[in-house]
Amino acid sequence: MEKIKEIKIDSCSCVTTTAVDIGGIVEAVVAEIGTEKNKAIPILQAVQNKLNYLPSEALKLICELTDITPVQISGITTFYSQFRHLPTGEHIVKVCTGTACHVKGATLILDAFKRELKISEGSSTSDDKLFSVEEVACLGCCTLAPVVQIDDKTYGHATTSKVGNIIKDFLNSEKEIVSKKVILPDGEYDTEIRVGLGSCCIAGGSRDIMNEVEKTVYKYGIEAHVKTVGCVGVCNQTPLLEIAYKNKEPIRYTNLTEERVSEIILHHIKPKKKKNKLRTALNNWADTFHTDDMLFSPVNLEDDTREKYLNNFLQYQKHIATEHYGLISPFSYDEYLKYDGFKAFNNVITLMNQSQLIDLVTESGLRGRGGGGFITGEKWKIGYLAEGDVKYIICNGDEGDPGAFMDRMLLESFPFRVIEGMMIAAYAIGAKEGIFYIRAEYPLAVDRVKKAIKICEEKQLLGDNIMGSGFSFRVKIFEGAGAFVCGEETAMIASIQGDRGNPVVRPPFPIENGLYGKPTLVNNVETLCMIPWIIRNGPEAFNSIGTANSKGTKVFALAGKIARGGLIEVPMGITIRKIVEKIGEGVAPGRKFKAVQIGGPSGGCIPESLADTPVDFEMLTQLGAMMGSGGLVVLDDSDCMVDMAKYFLSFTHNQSCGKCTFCRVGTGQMLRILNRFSKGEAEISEIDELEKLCISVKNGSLCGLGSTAPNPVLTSIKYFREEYEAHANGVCPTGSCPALITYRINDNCIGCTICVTACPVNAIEFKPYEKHHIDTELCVKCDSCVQVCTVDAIEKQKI
Amino acid sequence: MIKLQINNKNIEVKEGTRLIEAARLNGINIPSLCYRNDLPHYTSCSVCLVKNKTTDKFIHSCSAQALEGMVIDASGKEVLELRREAISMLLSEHRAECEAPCKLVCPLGLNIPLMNRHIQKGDIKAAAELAMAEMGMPETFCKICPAYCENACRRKMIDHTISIVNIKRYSSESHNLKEPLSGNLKKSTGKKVAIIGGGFSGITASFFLSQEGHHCVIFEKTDHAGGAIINTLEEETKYIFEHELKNVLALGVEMKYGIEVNNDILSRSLTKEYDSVVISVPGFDNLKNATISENHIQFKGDSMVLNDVHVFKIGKAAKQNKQIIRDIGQAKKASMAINNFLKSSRLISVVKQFNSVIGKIEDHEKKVWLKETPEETNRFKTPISLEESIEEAKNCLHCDCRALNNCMLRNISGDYNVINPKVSMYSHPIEKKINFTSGLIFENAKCIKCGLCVRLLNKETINAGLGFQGRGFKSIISEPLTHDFNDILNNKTDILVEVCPTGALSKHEDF
Ligand SMILES: Cc1cc2nc3c(=O)[nH]c(=O)nc-3n(C[C@H](O)[C@H](O)[C@H](O)COP(=O)(O)O)c2cc1C
Ligand code: SF4
Ligand code: SF4
Ligand code: SF4
Ligand code: SF4
Ligand code: FES
Ligand code: FES
Repeated sequence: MEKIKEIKIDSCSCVTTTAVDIGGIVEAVVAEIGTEKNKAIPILQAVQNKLNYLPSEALKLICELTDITPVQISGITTFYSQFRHLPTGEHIVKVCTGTACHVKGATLILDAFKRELKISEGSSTSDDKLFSVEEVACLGCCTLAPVVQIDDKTYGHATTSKVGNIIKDFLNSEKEIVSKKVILPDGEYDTEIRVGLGSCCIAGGSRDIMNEVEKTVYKYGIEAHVKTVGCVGVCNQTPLLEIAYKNKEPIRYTNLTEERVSEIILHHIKPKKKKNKLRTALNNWADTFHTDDMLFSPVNLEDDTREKYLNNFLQYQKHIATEHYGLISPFSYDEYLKYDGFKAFNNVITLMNQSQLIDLVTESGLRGRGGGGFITGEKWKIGYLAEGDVKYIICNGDEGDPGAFMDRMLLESFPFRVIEGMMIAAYAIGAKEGIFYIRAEYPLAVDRVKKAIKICEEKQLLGDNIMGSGFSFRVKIFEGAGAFVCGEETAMIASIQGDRGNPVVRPPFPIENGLYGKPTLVNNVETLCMIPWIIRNGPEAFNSIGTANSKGTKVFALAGKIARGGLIEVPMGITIRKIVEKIGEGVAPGRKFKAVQIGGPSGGCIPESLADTPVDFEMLTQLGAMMGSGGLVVLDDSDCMVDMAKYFLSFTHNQSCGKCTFCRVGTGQMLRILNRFSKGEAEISEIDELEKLCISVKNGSLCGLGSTAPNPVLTSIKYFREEYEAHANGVCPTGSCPALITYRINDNCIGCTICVTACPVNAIEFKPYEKHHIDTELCVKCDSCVQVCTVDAIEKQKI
Repeated sequence: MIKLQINNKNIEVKEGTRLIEAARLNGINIPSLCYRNDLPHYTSCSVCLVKNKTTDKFIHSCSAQALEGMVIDASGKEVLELRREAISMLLSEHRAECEAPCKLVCPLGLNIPLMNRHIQKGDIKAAAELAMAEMGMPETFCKICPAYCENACRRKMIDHTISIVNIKRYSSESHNLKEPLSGNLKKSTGKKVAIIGGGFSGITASFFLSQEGHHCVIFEKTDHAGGAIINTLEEETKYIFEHELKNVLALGVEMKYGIEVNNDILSRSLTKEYDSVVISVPGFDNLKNATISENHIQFKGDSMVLNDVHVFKIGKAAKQNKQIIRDIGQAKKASMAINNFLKSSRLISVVKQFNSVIGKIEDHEKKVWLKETPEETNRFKTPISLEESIEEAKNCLHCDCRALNNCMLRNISGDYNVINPKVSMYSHPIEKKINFTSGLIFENAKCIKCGLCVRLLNKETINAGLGFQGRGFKSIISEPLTHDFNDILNNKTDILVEVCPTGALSKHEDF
């Protein structure tokens, strides 16, 4: 018998690791993090950070130095998508394929990058090892969709025809020397200049704005306090700058460019430095004043025009979790205190015992915002009554819905508030240890929470015997490693314990038997963010908002085909229509509002005809959708519902942990049928077959991932069955499914050749000034030509 | 104690009892694949689903605790349908075959791969005994068969069929013809069976029924056995037939020549003197319902009852096949059903076992199929000697699954009447890993991801074992990334093979 040698993952000799001291690095990491089994994920993250990937040698060494076993390490490094066994290119291009980006053509962008970088089928790294292309599910700036991130640089509103330029721009910016940061003197001023530094703002370019503000202030000696604030919510209008005078409404500028910054600042705040400086300033002011584009400067707009849409955007909202949005700096402990920070906690530990606190939260009617909608007070009560002196609390910041970024924004903008909520919850059940579980893709959130924890520790708000109350509490951060299923509480616990993120059967619920077998309270970020407000304002203030069974407010990430997307917090009971039409100002001109997709991959679509449904846990469930975590993606008449269903199902199928049969195999079978529809291969009878399969998967799956995965499919069949029928007849009514359309040039063509240059595969035959022609054999349906054509001469046609 | 209801039965169990145990303790059977009561539960296969009637939700009974006041439906229509679907999903991932194709198509169901294994090891006696036990007249019958087995042989899809007929012939010849075999006769049941017709079908019936311990008497109207066809055979075949007939008669079969049985004799004497009558000649058209359908070995309607005695039609009498070998095959299957009847006095249909199928093999799979065969062969010639047969037998791919007789997936698929799913979805290309120190074999395409092996190994102190890798549809059992399959688990093979519910983990015959 011949021995067959199995090929091991990195036996490939082309990978040179000789220059790196793998042993030294691993030893240092292990020395710092520890040797227990549950340290596996942090150790691997740290090692990969240093080595770019996880060579087999490193894995072996980790097993030797720690209690981690070879089976465990192999299991987790292949379970979590963050871990790599092969090195990547020098730069990583992350193409967001989250929901919002998907509806805006992310797949085409992904293909375009692969084409542009000449990355072959089945590989993810360019031959020159300069770039690797990865898909990510939601970068948290959905309002700028489609979004691409190359290393730390984010590009919003990407199009296939811009891909080449994006790569060029990135390579050029690499060479730029980063200018020295100016340090501004501290002082008490009446005026504040605020720059938003949430993720969307940063993606929109607010770091450059900040630099420019600082330069201007320094250069002209402007007497104002420059500060950064968290997310304001108007994410699709970033970058954003506010000038605030004491006791006056702030003036807000949106969609700002760097060049305008000094102009705006100087317009509002007169420099008070020496005469010559003032003159220069005035000269500059005069200089710019006369250029043509000054006509379009936001400075010239009437104040109320400028603010009109903002008011509309804000009027229907109510800020509880996002209280003082745009006002307080995420980093400033003092400011948080100034705006009532830790007052609730103070009240709790000085005035209430645990039962009183729990009763108060129950009375408020608060239900978990993580998706399940379990009554928070009741969960706390079970936790409080659970026996044992070791209890844990986990703040669930895994936020995996590929079109939602509420929790990210809350963690980034209000880290102290989340900590305060967590402290109160911990006090309620008697937990001494808390864990922030934060998604791998949220480095900024991790960073800010880390800093906030450190400050709280310094101020002795975290630690032993806090404020002499006898209550002790510490928190740690656990970074997720890339697995949507870890948002599910039992999988999350497995993950913290250093295992693969497989959910386990409930009951027992974590609140009875959780982390390391101890009672463990798992609450969502937003749930915890509501707590301080509820304590300060009383339960009635909260339960007077909303509907019979859904109280208070809900934060949504509003995105998709909508004029004004962003992060919104609305009272429960508001109708979907109001959100879309008033807050979001509807879909693009000429398009029709078709449906909203609510609750992400576990939720479903709600058609326009039912848009007067109020936002309420039960109402949404009745329609087959779900509140979920709060992703709200608006779809217009150019969106194909079969494609949407397929999109969500590929996501859940991909994210299934693989443990139970219905989810592992069943979602795959559903996806197979959906693929047949999108290719026009399915029979009408397969609609029923698909529906039946959906119901089995719903009934037979072990955890929420599998049992809710069919929702997007079921709702799309329920409300848009005719689209499935059309696909079965070979027609995609919206022209979205590539297999069912072809590109053609019509008589509008003026023969300008602009499309010819845009086409990546030379599929356009042309003679200048004559009507061009697309060779459909060569055409890869990338849509680039349509985007560049100025005379609407390129049509998508049904085959 | 916890009080609950399962299938309308009030039950009391200790707190903490899993539903499946609660049911089983009370005589209600719930199937399971990924659960064993001596290992922690894992909730994977989902064939144990039951319905909680209070919440209207389906729950995994192997992992869910019995709770006070629960009302459980463990065998309603919906529940069974959902389980069936779970099984069907597992099968759609299952790129494997239970029985070898050659065996499946052989009208007599000869276990060809097993025979080849005997021959390959040089155990010619075992091979000949096997053929005899399964065929009665192994040489004669293969001579009159168009060799369905060779046509279906999996190896044909790779290069060239295994020369099954010749292998069998040259190995049997060297044994069978010299030493008559006694077969494996069972203790006498005291039952007497009259067989009308001494053709191939009648002889076949007499062979299988007497092996089971029934006394058989054949009534043949001519003066020779084998029917009319015997005259059309070559001399050599005739010679073989005579020899094999002697072997059959040696089992105690009585042959009465020159007696033509008609309706009168049948009802007046045979049904009085015998426990059962088997008709294997044409005619007797008045007896309609006595046939036994070929494929399912199911009684079509009731068998004929004459004077309280059951009369069965088999072979040609049941259905005229184009190929006589098919009549013989039908006669064998029918004999098994008749044997069941004689033993239990009830007409039990012999249900065909479930058989997982794979269809055509892909190019990239060929090397996996060839993994246990010699690399260099000069096998295109047809073997014409014992030595050559032994060499050729080594090329058999052994398409049969090593677990085919104790596979829980196969059994449950049969129990739930699951048919092979239309759609296949394979998560990985097939692979066969062999540990050359311990003989442990892992075939990924047969694994149902039940995790029993992993949980079993968690209890053992070992440095490196088997674990899950990958996620979701792509998850798979594997040795660690840091180890070679050859270097793990060298003394755990037996317990692993025992715990694995399918043929995914098995042990090589040489260890
Ligand atoms: C597949 C899946 C993903 C989930 N993802 C999240 C998540 O990203 N964030 C979250 O807070 N809860 C998520 N949950 C819900 C949690 O399991 C848990 O119910 C929640 O964190 C409890 O907090 P709450 O009571 O404050 O809502 C998810 C559940 C499932 C089944
Ligand atoms: S594992 Fe079971 S079902 Fe699969 S081939 Fe083997 S015997 Fe058949
Ligand atoms: S030749 Fe016919 S009877 Fe003989 S083993 Fe092959 S299929 Fe069976
Ligand atoms: S290779 Fe062997 S087991 Fe497979 S079909 Fe051919 S003879 Fe039968
Ligand atoms: S190898 Fe066997 S025991 Fe292990 S998971 Fe697969 S089917 Fe289960
Ligand atoms: S940033 Fe792409 S979907 Fe959120
Ligand atoms: S036996 Fe219950 S899930 Fe497998």
